[in-house]
Amino acid sequence: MYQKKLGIIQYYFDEWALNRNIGTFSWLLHRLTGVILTIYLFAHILVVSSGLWGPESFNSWLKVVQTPLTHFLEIFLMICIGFHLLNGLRITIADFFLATKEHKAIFWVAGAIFALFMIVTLSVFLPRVFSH
Amino acid sequence: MVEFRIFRFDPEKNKEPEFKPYQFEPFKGMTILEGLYHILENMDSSLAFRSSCREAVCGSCAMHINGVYRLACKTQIQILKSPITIRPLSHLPIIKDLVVDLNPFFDRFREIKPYLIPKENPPEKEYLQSVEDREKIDDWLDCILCGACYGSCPVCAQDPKYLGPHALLKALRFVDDSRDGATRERVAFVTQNSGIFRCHTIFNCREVCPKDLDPTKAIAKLKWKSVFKKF
Amino acid sequence: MNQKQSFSSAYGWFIQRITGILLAFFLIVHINVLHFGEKFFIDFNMVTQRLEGSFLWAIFYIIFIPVVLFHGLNGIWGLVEDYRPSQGAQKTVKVLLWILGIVGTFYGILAITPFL
Repeated sequence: MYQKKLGIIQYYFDEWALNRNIGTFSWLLHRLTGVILTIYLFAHILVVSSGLWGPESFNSWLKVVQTPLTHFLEIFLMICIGFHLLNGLRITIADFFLATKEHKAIFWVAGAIFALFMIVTLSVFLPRVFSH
Repeated sequence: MVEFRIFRFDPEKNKEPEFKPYQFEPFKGMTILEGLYHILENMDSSLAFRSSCREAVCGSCAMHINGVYRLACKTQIQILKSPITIRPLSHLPIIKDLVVDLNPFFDRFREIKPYLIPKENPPEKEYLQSVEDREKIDDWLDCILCGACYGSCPVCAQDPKYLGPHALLKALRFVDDSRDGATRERVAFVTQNSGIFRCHTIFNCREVCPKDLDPTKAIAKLKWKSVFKKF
Repeated sequence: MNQKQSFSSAYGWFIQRITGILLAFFLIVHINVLHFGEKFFIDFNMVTQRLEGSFLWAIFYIIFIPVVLFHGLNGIWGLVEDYRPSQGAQKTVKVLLWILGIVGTFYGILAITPFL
């Protein structure tokens, strides 16, 4: 008998190759953005906590994290937050109100909200990237 | 002219599986299953696959056809784009070609005790059920145990002990049944480490189900019952 | 039907959804104020101006920090559980995540105090 070996990361690519649909797409991105946001959360707490060593320490740290590059990366942060938040609400609606039949419609509504959010984000963040 | 690209694996010859192309002229309304029989009879008699009823009732011929798990007997060739890629069900050991070992699938199914457990005082004659109570389980009855949902569920790949959409759907069928006496035990059983809370609401099972059942909804319902212990 | 039940995962699932809904509110306020409201360069004075003497903002962050840490770390726990680790590994990861969460909560709230 033959069974394909399961790679820790390869597994996600395999599943995506065999199930190319909205549900799998959202699940993969939800995982990825969730892990990214949790790592960011701890980095965020550490940077803000530099205020404990006085205003100078805080300001010098904030100089490090407010460069054109980090402003550019913040756009990706907004993508992660926007997606994770909207998809999380989509799953919660499906779980709490048993709205599994409507999950595709909710996905596209969430997609429209995400697009609007990204237009606002880019209009605010892109000038910041180039204003240094 | 249509091309089938079929997953081939013979444990006596191959170490790794391969895809073999087969070309033939289909007739109008030919199903994938008829195509497989055409190949078996005229082109390659070593091809192995499961099938029985040819009319979407037995659930033997579920396979991965052009990106979706479906019943070969229910899918017509003309609605698909050639070449048509055919794989066996995922997450199950492959015995030969398109034949998979369904033991893990049915082991999970047996674990939830898929039969009526009587209440403490069973009636003398038959169990009576009102029309309203019967309607409550309407949505969960039609499962043919084809394995399409099991193959499509990413959680089943990682956790072979995960009960799976088919077993959880059947569990809810008995939880919602007014005649069943083991409701509490059933909900407690599916609230195990490899139970309902491994489900990440990916919706694959309801997307692929050839009988248009909704295991995702069944699992969501079980989650509610588990959290609030309302039976 | 005699496998070990784990109703803790039932509450874990439920609290994950509730904290998620709470976070939708907290994050929209937090990001709106910090990234869309103020000028693009944040420094100590700017944060102090906003937070100083504000009881409401203090309460906001005292709730926000534990909620966001719970949601994040419980999510990681769900990911770890999917890989079916051994009993020992499960216990280790669980203890590690609880320590990260509790230390993170206290340190996070402490980090707000210079601005109050």
